[in-house]
Amino acid sequence: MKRYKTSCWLIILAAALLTACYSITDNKYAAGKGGKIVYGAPEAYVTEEAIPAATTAGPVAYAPAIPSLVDGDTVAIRVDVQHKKIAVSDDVSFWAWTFGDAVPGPVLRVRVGQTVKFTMANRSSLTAQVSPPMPHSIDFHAALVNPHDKYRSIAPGETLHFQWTANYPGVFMYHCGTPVILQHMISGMTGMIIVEPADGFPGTVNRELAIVQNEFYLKPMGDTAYQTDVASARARLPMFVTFNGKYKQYMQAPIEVKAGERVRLYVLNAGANLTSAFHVVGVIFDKVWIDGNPRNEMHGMQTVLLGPSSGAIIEFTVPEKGIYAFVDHSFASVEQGAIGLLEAK
Amino acid sequence: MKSLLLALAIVITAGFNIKAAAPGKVKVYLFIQTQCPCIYSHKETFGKLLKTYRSQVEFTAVFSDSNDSDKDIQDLMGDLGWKMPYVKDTRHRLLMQLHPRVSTDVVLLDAAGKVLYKGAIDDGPSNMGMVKHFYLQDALEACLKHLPVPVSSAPGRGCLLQY
Repeated sequence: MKRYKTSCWLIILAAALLTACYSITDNKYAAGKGGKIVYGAPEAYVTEEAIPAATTAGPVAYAPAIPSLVDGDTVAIRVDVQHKKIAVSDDVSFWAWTFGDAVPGPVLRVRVGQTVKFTMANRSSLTAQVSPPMPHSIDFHAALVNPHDKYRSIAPGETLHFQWTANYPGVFMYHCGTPVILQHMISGMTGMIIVEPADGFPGTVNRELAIVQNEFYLKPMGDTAYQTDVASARARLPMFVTFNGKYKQYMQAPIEVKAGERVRLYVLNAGANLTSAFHVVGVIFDKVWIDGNPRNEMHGMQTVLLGPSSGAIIEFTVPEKGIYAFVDHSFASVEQGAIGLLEAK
Repeated sequence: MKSLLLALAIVITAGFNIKAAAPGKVKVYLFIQTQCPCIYSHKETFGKLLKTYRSQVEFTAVFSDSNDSDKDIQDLMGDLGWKMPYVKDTRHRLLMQLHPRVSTDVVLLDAAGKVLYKGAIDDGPSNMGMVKHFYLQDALEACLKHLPVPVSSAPGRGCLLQY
């Protein structure tokens, strides 16, 4: 009888512990501000103001770098649109439509509960001699807002202002949403925003890297000059598939890591069309958070499937010294550029 | 046969100029650029207008950017699926005369050459693709019935035309 009573108490204790653990986990990655989802935001507005010299401001960096977080309840971020000549490889360049002067656009980083005060100027009229000044917009997949208002197109010379609150942790995409969206996206207007849980991502890592995969659909105009090709984009026949915007850029300049280091990759497939089968040769992903949300945790994965606009956080330990290739395991994409190297010394 | 038709189309359009527009007919000029994707927002709505009104209205596409080659123009028109003549207004004669602002702007003229409507084809691009106001269609209907046009101008969404 005594043994029976003890067993009952042990079961109750175990159940209580499990519930407590679950509750802690649940609260730790809670969505919204103070655990409450913030829907909507004040109406966006447009100004015609002087445009500053820099095209970005706030917590921004260019992949593979990750920007530092900014403290406080609000975070001011500026990412302007500019048309700019971008080299995709040594002998292929084109006039891209960019966020923050780069393809992909800069990596942004905020925390759950922070309100993003976003500003974007359309500078496309500054390069009118080579590319027609046109409307542009921005669509944050991390936001819960009325897209008709916040993601409105603005004319060249105008500046858009709106705010939104980060509710869910994750690796999210942003992109231009002005028609024809396909053409704006293949012209370079995509990027990654990382939203950290209010108390940060769980666990500690030695290195954090951002990898954005995207396709380039181009046709030649003569010499090294190319232009976007909507027909091949519709046919889903890219000329290049790249990591962080350049053909095989990490083959001759590998990203350095150390044997035994714990690596966290923030991965986004910006598309516009193809699915990525992201894989690192020689490692197993011991932790994967689908869409970058710690609640969507998976273990022991060899490959992570990312449809267009899908993100993930991938963690692994570098097993030993060596060279580790990261690829889109859809190997046609490797031939088109979706391969890079991590060199562990 | 296809090549013959294409050759014929090229000959016809090459010989077309601003003065060639038939007198006494309602005209619509559509200002457009091959490098600007904004016109695709009106692919269906403008295409429908072309089919519906082509027997009563003379539609002409106007390309004012000197970088627009005949091949680029024909590729664009083919991709849009629109059958309409075009003019290359590289000296900006029509541009200066009609003062459109962006590359999807249309100008509707009555048989006497008076401007009845200028601006957006419709407001689809401002409503995430849902058209609430069919500006050009409404103006055409009114014009063909010899009624005042309900709206004489509406701001278009497109690439800035360079004068």
